[in-house]
Amino acid sequence: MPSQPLIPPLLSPNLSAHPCTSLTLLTSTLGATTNWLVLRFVCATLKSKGYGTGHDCHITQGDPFDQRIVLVSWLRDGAWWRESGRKLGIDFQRVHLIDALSNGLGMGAGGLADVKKAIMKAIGSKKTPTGGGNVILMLDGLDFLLAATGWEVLGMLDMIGELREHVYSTIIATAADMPLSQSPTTPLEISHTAFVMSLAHQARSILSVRGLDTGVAKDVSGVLRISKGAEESRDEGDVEERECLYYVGSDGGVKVFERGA
Amino acid sequence: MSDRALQHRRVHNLLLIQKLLSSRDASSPFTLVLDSVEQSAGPLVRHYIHHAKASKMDVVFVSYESLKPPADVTALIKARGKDPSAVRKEIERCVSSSRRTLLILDSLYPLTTHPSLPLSSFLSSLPSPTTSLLAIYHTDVPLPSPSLSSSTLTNTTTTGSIYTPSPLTLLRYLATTVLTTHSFSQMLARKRAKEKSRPDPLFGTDEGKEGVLVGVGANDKRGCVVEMEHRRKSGRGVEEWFFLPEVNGSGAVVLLEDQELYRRSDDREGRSDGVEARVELATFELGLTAKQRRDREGVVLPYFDAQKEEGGGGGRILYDMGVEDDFDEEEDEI
Repeated sequence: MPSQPLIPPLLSPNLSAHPCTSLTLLTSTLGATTNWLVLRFVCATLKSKGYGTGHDCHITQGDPFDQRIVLVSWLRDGAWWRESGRKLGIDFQRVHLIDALSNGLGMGAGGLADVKKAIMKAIGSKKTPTGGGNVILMLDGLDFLLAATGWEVLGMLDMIGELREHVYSTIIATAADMPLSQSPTTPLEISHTAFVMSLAHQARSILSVRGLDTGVAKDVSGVLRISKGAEESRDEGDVEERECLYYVGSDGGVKVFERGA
Repeated sequence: MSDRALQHRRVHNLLLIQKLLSSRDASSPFTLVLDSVEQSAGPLVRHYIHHAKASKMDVVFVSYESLKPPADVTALIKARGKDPSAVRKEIERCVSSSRRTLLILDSLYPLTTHPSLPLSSFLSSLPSPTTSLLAIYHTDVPLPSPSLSSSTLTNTTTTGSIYTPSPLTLLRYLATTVLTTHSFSQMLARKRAKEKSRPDPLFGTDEGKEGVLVGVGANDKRGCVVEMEHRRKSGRGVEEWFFLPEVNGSGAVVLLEDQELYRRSDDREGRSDGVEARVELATFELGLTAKQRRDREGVVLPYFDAQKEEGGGGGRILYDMGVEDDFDEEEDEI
């Protein structure tokens, strides 16, 4: 177990208590990955003991302790997630992990329909016959398919929309490097930007990690910016906007701190 | 601008925005809302719905991307993944010709990227004398480049050709009112920078920082700033900036320059907070009126001429000998 607290205190309000049907968007750059953040979300979700706010959802009945996760990853294989989880003491037995990297999910002839079917099956299997629990869907690196297969952005967004209807809340991790999100020129860049920005419009909060603006530092891994998304409304509690630094240690422990602290 | 012209603008434009928000007298059959991740159209749409409810209108919300529609919607049409013609049929079913209806499209992206949909005829078929259309277009979601779509569509429709105008141009042309949303706190930051002649601060993807999507101060919960461009039936355009507070909060829609925080930054800038507070507490006026200032400028100070003529010559002692003074030739050489 790492020496740092598993869930950095500065981040804890953002990691749990997601309202029903909310979307949280995590964006990364080449020099700063969101893997540590995804692991913190997994950890916080498994630990959380409630629904957060917004009890009016169609799947809120059932045991409040029953928050389960379906994690689909296109960029890291199952072994990697289990190993990183073990280091942090996360019990991956409670996480339905779909190893889309090894399976090549979505790369076959079935295309998007395959992806949807696989994820729907995972969501279904996690619902207990007696009313079901809250399923939190995490999609890591879905944008990879956009580049690998050249599907229409709209098709991907429609699929995400449909999946979101079947789960309690959704967390999507995607890349947002300069060419992929700012002033795009090539068709791939345009579709990636359209994908990321459309999700940003639907999201309740956006957590972006990036490298340090001033270069590499020994004790800082990067900058994390938490922004309010467009979809936030008044009755759901507030997303507090902030920008802080973080450091990922070699043991997997993460320290999140204010600038100058 | 003179006070009278401002007063005139205030009265007319506030009436106009109220009329637009409550969709009265078919004032704007097609309203286009241009939003971005910095300020979503959410608060503006809530204002529209609030006013529509107040005047007993139906609200039909066509959802392409929202999972949860805003509160107080009469009918919800889930349009995700559906063909535009099917969506139109559903809309026709929900909109009754006898009641006034506000029709809201939450994203135009699916329609603008549709390979064979004639956008202008689709949109212009929706509004009617009793129905007004409010459509949201996300300005920061780029559309596929037209040259690409025309090469993929081999059997061709005219849409997507490189010679047709871009969907945004077309939408701006069709719309009777164009509303652009801006983040309030970012507008304040821009204004402060301008007053100090600093370059405009940049937000979000304009910051040019790798990995930054949304700027600081996005979706301010105090309210949002709306830039209006309304075209009257005569063709004359009216432009104005408004501040819209949250629907259920206190305060009404005001001109942006009348917004207290926005206005304050210009004449109070540079004074410390303490001084400002004391000025407000004083029961008398510390400033000068125009007449007082003129009078003060007219006052001729004593020895004014002496300062002007003799001041240039360096230090000189001017002394008048008295009777009792004894003139000493060696010391008192003048």
